Amino acid sequence: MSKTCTGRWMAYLSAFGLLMGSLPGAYAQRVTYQVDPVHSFVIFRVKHMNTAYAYGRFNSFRGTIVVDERNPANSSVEFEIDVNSVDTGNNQRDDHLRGPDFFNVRQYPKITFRSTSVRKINNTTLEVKGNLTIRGTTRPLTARVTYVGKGRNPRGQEIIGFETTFTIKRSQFGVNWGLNGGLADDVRVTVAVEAIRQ
Amino acid sequence: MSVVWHSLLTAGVPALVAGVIWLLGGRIPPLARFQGVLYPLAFGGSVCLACGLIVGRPVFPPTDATHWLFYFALMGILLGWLAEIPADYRWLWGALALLLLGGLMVLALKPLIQSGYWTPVSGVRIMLVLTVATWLLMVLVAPNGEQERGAGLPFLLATLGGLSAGLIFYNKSASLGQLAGSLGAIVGVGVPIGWLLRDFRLRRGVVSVALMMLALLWVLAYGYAELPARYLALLYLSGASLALNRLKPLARLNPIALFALRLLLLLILAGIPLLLSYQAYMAGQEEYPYY
Repeated sequence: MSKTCTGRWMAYLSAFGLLMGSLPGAYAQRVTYQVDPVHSFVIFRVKHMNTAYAYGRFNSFRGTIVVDERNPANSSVEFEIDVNSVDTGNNQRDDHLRGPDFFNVRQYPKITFRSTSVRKINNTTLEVKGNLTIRGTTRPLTARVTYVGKGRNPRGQEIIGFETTFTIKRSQFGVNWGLNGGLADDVRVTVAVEAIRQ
Repeated sequence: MSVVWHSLLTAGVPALVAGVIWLLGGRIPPLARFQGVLYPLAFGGSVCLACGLIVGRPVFPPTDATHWLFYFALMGILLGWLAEIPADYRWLWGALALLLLGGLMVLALKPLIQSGYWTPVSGVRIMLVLTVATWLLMVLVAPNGEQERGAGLPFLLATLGGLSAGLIFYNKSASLGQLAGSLGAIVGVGVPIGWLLRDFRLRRGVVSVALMMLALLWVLAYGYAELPARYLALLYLSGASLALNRLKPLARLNPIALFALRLLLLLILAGIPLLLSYQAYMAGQEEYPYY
């Protein structure tokens, strides 16, 4: 008798849960994605000798994106770049970039970004505010992030894509070498990520 | 501004400032009584100026360990003044120098333990070794600043600064290399002054602090750039070779021969690593002109 009663109560509770869950905004749907480094890119460009753009990339990074589609303000981003992985296609220049003139990798091996707020601009654009830390200096950053798409990878995992481009002044992070010589202060950064649902 | 002009500016202006003060201190009798205060002040102030021109406006505390050099130069002024105290109390200067160097070494190198680049045990061991080595170098060569007159010692110190600049530059830090070059230029301005004023001496305060600042630059290049430990050891030996003239068996040599011997040792001990570093740089498959 008591077993039957318990079973009935469980059925009622499950039905109630399903009903409540189907109501809009009834519960937060925060989905966590991990950045897939194989299909993501962090690229930067800086003007050389006020003449042409030099491009580089970071090959090693990781990140976590929490998406709340119903309430984007609940979304968040954390991103960490291994500065040792800087790659400009020239080993000597990469060594120089790792050294104390630029990133000082031995003291500051990571570049980090942690969001503080996310705001929906329209169906494909979000405004992400957060703190960017380079070479031990943290500065606020606001980036317009474009939602690129959603789908499934060949393994059947749910994937989501975003891209953003923003410009920082490297002098604000203490990266001053070459400002008098031939490297511009403005560095344009593009982050294009594909992230896998956890 | 071109890189060459910028380098000339960052070496030339601080050297000019130091040179004018040293010249005035050597030529004007009322000022000559204050050489012990003026000379280290001119040297430390010029190094601070060079740091500002090369690294930018100093912030306190600096986020980057290599930016401590500005404050190290300020500390160097105090240490330079203390180096001029009477001989009876010189042990006090030695003890304070050791304590201060220990502190500076911690400020310079602790971030490498915090970032995980060194383990705490190896980091502390390296800091201890480098503190003692730098202290020995200062204590060993400081008396030369009192005893040697003329252009000889400034020339040798400037040569050491120049060789250090090249060595650090080819081991992946242009800014630290530039600072070493500026330091060489600052002491090098003592060469024309030494020709002009036969009685010119750099004094204990300048020589000891110049060697301390050079050693700290080597240490930072070892910690944060890619100066190998073997080259760091050779740089310390090359610095110590400046005191060879005070060895009793060599003291009897002709002054010119003694100068030539010290210069030769300097060129061998610091010049060969520079040559090897240059060769390694040129052997790289890609050309990169550091800008």
